[in-house]
Amino acid sequence: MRNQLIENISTIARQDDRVVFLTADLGFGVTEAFRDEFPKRFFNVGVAEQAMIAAATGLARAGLIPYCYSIATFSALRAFEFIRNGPVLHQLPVKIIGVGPGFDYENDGLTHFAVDDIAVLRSQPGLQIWAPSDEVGFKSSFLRVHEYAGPVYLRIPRRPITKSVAAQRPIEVQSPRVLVIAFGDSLNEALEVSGHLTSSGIDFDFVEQHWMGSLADFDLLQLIARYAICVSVETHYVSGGFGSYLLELSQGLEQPPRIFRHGIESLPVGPLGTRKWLSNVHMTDPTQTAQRVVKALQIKNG
Amino acid sequence: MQDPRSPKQIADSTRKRILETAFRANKGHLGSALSICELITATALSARKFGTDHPARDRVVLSKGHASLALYCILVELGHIAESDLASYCKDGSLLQTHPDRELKSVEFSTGSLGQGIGFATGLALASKIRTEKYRTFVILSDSELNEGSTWESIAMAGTQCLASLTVLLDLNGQQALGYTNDVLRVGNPSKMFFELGWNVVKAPGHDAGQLTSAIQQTESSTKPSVIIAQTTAGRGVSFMERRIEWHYLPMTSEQFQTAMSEQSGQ
Repeated sequence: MRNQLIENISTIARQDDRVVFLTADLGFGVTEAFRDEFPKRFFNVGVAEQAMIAAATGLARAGLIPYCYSIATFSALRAFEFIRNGPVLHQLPVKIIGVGPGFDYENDGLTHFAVDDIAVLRSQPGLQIWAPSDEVGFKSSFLRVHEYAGPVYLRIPRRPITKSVAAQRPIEVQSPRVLVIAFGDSLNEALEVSGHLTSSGIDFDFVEQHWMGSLADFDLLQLIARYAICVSVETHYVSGGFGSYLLELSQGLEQPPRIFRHGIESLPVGPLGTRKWLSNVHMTDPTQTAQRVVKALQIKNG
Repeated sequence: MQDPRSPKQIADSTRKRILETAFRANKGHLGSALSICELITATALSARKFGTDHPARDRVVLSKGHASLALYCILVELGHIAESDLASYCKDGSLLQTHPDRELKSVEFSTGSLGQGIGFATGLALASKIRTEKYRTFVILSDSELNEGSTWESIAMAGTQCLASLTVLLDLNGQQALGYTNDVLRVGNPSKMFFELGWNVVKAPGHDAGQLTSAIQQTESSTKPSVIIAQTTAGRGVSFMERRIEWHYLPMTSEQFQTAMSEQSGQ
């Protein structure tokens, strides 16, 4: 995914000389392609995320379009006040790349786990969050990232998310009352929840969502209005993330659906492991999520 | 039309205006604003197209945003803001508040959070280098901002990138909100530290607007970013405010205002 990202930035940079690339000394084996092609538009600012976002704000104020690269926890959280007082306050097109959503950095621990970045950034008016999961649709979405006149946070997985074989299955539904929404890179976690719903005899629809902002997404609002229950799945704390956004959004409906949030429930400290292992330990138990849906449907069916 | 007054006369007039406006609004931050009267005057007189949004203007960033009143007053002195606008200082609905807002034409960045203005300015200077544009970028930085780690990130970055169009005017008044700088947080010798990080270091008396203007001219030919280390006095020009910590925050009483004004030249 990181290579795909750099390829897209390079493609845009060939057509748009306003593009500049800043890295806070990260991106080994990834960012060199841009550096080699555009040496005068590439800046390693050092391990200085705050200065990177501040400088990017100045660059954008002067008419350039800076892309700022780091691990998500550092670009989004370390530099947060600079994002708030910089591109958000001044409504400037700074593109903030945060690599490694959720448990993407596996053995590196909580300092590297972006499990609260959405909670912080989605509060910011005018800032858009883009969270792709794979290369499908990358190009068209990337154009939207680039052309948006304000700040965008790019929540980029290290590797494309591929459906695990076990999770792949056809979804056949008949007038379902349940919708599962996989946000960003949470496809496999969402498919696992889906598997438990299927085992429980629940029909449901399944969609992926890759964009979020501080304002109401009316397409999303119209979509969730059609269901009695929505299950949000994300690689983020259940508090403050996409599910919380969905809860707030649903309050705009006369008859809001029940929202069940599936995400990271506990502080991921102590023993570490693979993304799968960490998800099993720290994310909502998919059985429990399925049971909640079953129970809610029983109540609604009276 | 060029202002016929000397830099000193403009700075003195700015100082009086600061006192009058702060008293009328019953606001503080006086020590900081009075500290930079000559710095802001010299910067305003040196920066091309100051106070305008002309594309070729030199950029001026007041990193110590809490001294915004000094910026507003010099803008009035030089005719970029109307007296009537200044009269709205800190009133409901006014753009002129205790920190500069980007919606005011002369403000490049909204500052107020210390240690950020210099970073934004670094980006402006980097942009001029990338695009080989001629504008210069000036930053008025307080010495308390040297407490902020992010300030040093930006200083190091500007030195590494050789941002020669960047000039920082360091308001070295030696005090901050709750104490004297050396008691609060020791940050070493700024001259040596800027020099070590690749900067051209110039020293100038902080309350001599004429010499500060010359120092700014001197930095124009530098191939490195420049810092003008200006030894200043917080609360300068008002005997009971000078070097007194409490005047970072306090507004003046009527009696204090009368005393302060009586100490100004030309009274």
